[in-house]
Amino acid sequence: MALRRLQAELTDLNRNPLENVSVGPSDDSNILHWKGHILGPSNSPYKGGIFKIDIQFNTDYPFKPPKVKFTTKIYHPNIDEEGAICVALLKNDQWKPATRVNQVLRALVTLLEQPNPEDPLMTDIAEIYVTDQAKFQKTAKDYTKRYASS
Amino acid sequence: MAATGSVYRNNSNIDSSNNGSSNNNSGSSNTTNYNETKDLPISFSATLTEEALYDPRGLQYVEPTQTSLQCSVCCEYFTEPVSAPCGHTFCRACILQALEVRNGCPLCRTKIDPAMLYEVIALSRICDELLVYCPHKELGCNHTCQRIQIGQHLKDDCVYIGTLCREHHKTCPAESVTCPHCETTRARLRHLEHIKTCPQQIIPCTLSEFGCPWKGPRFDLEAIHIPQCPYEAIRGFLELSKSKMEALEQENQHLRGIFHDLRPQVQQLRDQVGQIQESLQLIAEQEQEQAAGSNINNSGGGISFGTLGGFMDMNYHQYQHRPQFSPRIDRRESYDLVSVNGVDNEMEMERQRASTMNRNNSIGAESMMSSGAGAGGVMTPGNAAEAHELLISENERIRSEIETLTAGLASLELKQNMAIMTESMRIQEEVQSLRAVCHGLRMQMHYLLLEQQNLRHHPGPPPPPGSPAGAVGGNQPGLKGSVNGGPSGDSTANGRSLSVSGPPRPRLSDGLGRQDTKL
Repeated sequence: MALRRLQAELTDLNRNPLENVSVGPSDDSNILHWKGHILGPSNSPYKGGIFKIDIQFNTDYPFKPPKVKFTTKIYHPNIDEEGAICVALLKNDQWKPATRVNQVLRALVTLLEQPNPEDPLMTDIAEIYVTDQAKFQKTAKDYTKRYASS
Repeated sequence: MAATGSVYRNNSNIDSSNNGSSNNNSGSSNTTNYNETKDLPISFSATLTEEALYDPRGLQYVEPTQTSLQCSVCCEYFTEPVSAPCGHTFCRACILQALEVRNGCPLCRTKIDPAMLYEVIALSRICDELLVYCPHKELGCNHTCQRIQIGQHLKDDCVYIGTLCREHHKTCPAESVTCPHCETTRARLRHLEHIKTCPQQIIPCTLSEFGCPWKGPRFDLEAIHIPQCPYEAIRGFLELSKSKMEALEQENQHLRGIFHDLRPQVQQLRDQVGQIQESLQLIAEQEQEQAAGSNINNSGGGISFGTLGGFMDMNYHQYQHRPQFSPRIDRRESYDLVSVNGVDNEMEMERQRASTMNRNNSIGAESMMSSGAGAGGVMTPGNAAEAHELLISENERIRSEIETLTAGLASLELKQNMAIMTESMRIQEEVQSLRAVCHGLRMQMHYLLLEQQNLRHHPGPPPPPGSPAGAVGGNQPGLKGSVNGGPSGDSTANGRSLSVSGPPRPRLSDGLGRQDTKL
């Protein structure tokens, strides 16, 4: 089930690629492990950065959510130092089997464009984001330049 | 796996539906009537055991998937679509599986009671009419038909239907197999073990590799053949020779490898000799021209001899240079002079061969030279080969000289070693005698000190001479070292030390004592 659905989703993603996102299995033998890149959205401080992501599916996909994380360091209220992402879509209790990978990826791009300080993973960054937008922008740009530039 | 679980669920569904609808069916009881799609869209009946393993959701469609007819869980065309009260439609298997993990619609998370799911007949028909490939497409079946008919195809038409089974049949571990030797029957897995010990199996003698022609049932081997086998008597010898053979084989292999390594080296040497020969020829020609020129002016003998001398000189130089640009030749030379340690025998043999060849050449050269000398005493260097041989003989001469020198060196070294040894023996003896004298001195002093001490502490009775030193050692830290000498040395040292007189110097005695312990 998981393999067929992933195959179908991959075919669909190849046919209708997402803007600024490239993703696919890390190697042909294991379709349960995907890797990808997200280009920093141009209307965000992550502009110009290339962020690597790692998606690990389970055999019970799509009934359980995949594990998605950033492998590139990023300064973001909803992404911690380990790259774990706090997004409602991927939470165990909020996951819907009908959710597809392209929706997840789109949600990630949106998260980069519009951080969600209401539900932060990094409270200190969220506080700066709310109180001192300029400082947040600057630090995020610094991080992007330092870690996400090729 | 989730997929197989769903298939089984499907099958139970199939069975019940077949039972229920058999009366209505006019045709084959295995194919479900189209009107009965409520229960079963694809007739994967239980009689088709192989086909029962196929996931109906795993069928390959001719048309690419249209999103409107797609189950949002499996992303395939609906198979047995059911709708939930919230209005969302999924494959029956998909929604049941999703509800097992978490009760809620996979799209809107509304709670769903599985009993409330209802079939969507129209959608089911639409999806059943979609064209699919035969599941045996990879095996070669190019058949396409409506999804509803694929069960019929698999049952009646598909020629590849048994392929998987036939392949499996050859290796199925559970299939019962009859042993061809003893006619007993058991599962294949057991048979594979049995065949190793089957008493009826015809096997060759265990010594067949050495030439025993016997063949017979296994149980005869131990009981009848082995005591009679003529090869059994010389088994030890056979095995020994086999192991030797193997060792030789290995050695052979090893030698072959070395030979292969050496071949390019030999070739290289040959090339170098060729080059030298060429250059010599060139020089010889020049010499000849010069000689021809000078012969006109002077008497031939002296000049040609002189040129020969110069020529030899030059050859000598060339010889001297050769080892520098070719280390391999150098190595060969060094072998000739002194045997090289830690070099493979094979390498040595190879070199020896090369050097003997060289020697043969030089002998020929010498003979030619002598014949040339005998003929006229004058040699005209016109022939390149002759010049080359001359060079080789010169080579040989120098080598023998170096050999003599090496021998001389070795004998000199031996002599020197002997001289050093005798000298050191002499010195050792001297040191020994000196040490004895010192020891005597120390003992005497020790005795004197004891005497003195005794006189100081016990003015009454005089102590006996040579009393154990340990008795007073504690009071005389300065004498501690000398205690090692022990009282045994006292009696012998006393007599001799009388001739050597000196003031008692504890420091010296201490030092000597220490030295004594060290030696």
